[in-house]
Amino acid sequence: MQGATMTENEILGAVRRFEWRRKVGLAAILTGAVFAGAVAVQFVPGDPNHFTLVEFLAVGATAAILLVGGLVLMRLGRIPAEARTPRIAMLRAERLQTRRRLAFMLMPLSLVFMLPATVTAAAHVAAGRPITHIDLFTAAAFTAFSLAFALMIAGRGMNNWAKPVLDDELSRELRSRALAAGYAVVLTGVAAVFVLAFVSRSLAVELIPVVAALGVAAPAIRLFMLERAAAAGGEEG
Amino acid sequence: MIGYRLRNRLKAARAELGLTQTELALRVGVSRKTINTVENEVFVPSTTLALALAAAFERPVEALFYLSRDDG
Repeated sequence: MQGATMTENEILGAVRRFEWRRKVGLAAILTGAVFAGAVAVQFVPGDPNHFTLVEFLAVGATAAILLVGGLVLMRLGRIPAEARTPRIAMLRAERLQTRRRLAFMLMPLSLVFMLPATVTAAAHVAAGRPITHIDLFTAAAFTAFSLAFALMIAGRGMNNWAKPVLDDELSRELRSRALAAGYAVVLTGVAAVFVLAFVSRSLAVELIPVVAALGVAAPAIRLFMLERAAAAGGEEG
Repeated sequence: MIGYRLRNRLKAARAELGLTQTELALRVGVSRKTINTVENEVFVPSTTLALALAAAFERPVEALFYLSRDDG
């Protein structure tokens, strides 16, 4: 339903459907990128264990399907013109903020899952063993994930319509406080790694991903807490 | 400035005009949460934001914001 007769709820419903398609599309693209990464590391020399031709083709085809399907879903449909009013934009941005807050909270959990494999990869390097495809894939995924999250916490890559909510004076203040917390954690962690290196070099190398993970997780948790406290006691409407 | 605290009459001014936090936020171009935290004196606004809020109410900034001695 289009035109001036759309109520606020109908506009928000249309926006929700549009955003859902984009979300599924983005998930498909990200999953496709993981598959594409698994194929790409096969070209790195050093590890004698490669995909068989069938595995290579199957994973490559899955990557291509997911990437193309995701791009099509991202491009499908248009947001209603009525959704571009400041009030609807604010309601959308507030919903987006709630989802971002959830992501900030779940993010340290994801890092915990990735950490054991990353530490194992670092241990291989510390022991002077050749880097395997899995090590390379894990390290690349961990780095990409950490960088993406760091950029998100720093407030990069926001849409213009969401900026009045997600990048206003209070949001910037909260983000700078959260980033300061992460900086303090990383500084302390790096100092600990240097001290530990005097005792055990391999243990110090293994600790580096832990420090990196803490450095990303600490501001995420701090930002979640600050934003929740700021939202307390607000009025609706 | 040590010994002073920035207070405000934002909530009362908003009630006088019958504005919600969202409506005021849209007038000023910030989030509802920012209006909420300024009203509750959790967040000290910048000079720019204080002037923008005063302009939204068509009042001088001193009518909305004032200093009080912080005895705590």
